[in-house]
Amino acid sequence: MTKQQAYATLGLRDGAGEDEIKAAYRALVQQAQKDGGGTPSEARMNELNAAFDLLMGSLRTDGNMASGAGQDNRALFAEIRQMIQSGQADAALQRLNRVPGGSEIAEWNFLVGSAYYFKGWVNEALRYFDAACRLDPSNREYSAALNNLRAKAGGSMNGNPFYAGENGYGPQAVTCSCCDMCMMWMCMDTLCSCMRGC
Amino acid sequence: MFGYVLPQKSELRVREWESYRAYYCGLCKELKREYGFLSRFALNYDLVVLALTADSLAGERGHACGERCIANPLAKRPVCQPTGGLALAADALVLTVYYKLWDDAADERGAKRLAAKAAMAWAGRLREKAATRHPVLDEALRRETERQAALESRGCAVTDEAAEPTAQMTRALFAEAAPPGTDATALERFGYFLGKILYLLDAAEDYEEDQKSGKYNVLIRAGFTKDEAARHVQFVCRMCAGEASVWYQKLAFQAHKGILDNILYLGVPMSISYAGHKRPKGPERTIK
Repeated sequence: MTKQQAYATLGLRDGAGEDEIKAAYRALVQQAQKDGGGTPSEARMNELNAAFDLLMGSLRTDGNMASGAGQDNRALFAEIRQMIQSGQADAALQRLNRVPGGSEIAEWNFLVGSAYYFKGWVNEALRYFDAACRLDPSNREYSAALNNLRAKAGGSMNGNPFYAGENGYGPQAVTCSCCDMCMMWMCMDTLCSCMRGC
Repeated sequence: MFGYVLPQKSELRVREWESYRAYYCGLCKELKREYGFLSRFALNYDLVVLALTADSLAGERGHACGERCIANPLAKRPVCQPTGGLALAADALVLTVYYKLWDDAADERGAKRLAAKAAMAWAGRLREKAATRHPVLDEALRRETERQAALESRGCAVTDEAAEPTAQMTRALFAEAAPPGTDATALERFGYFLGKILYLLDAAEDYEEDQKSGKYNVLIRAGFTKDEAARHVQFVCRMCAGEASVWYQKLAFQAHKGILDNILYLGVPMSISYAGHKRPKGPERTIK
């Protein structure tokens, strides 16, 4: 089924939006139910589902990639990912800067952020990871990259033996304040009446 | 460098504090031995970290003996006897001082410029000795000093970019500290992020002075007010400290681990929390 055929199946003009596709699909399924006396015919449902899935799928990829150039970018981005992983961050940035309309694409922003992160330019990396997450909030990879940097900006350090929070002092699991000690005593008392003897 | 990479004394064990002091005094004595009396005035705390890191990775503990010195002529102080790390730190100090003067001679005007030129003539001789021992480091420092001057003259307003030359210089310093068999990449990345922190804290501290004199400061170029600049620097430096800790964890330290942990996890965050404010100098500072 081509995109044009899918639009025709749902009775829509080419290029109809997400809301129209959903409304048309719902109406046609109800119609099919009525025609079949409660249960729609399997062939008709398959046809409607295929058209619906194809159109929604293409809407999603067009949203992520600048329309028209989607397929080209996917191959390019995979190649750039390889470049970043093999340590060619500057070359990757040059390639990315030549992608037209790149800043509108979530993955482009993520890759620019990754290249900067690899270079050690953490503030630039944070900006682009942030943009990637705004364009595609559901992507786990993008939000993991953003959260990693945000946690560090909040003072988190790997392997910190001092539990550092602000100024290097943070909450500790066990404290020795007067209040805590009284509370502990009271808790123990309720358990086994240690003050009065068992 | 600028005296930002320090331990927090109140959290050190007594023996750790004593070895830190012994390293500091040892570096001073090393400078006198190798580069003459005057070079000792360039002594600072940042390079003690380089000596400790190099010796720790090489498994050298350092041996302290009681010695007198001109700052304390009466009481004997524990002084660390020559180690590979101290020799490296002394050479590195001479080279960084020389390139700092080189930069000043280009930047400053009037009397300061003359002073920098005069000092350069003296430091130039010392530099030759250090450069024959560390040609790669010398070349890296020269290249990055030029890069710094170039980006200043075109008025760079991106913090990451402006901090890059200093970060690369510090990376080159730590690269020299890697004994065979060390994860050199991890050590260099660790140095890189420390360098970035140094540059940004220095830029925040000089904000007002640079504003008055009209000297280049990336934070002014980026359009930050003084308070915004301090907040921005703290934010970026904390990210850098977090990244530094990732690489630090990959290194196999064999000595001085308590001091190095204290410096990275307590001392550096404390320096960051003082960004853009008046700060107490030296390791005996306390939390504001």
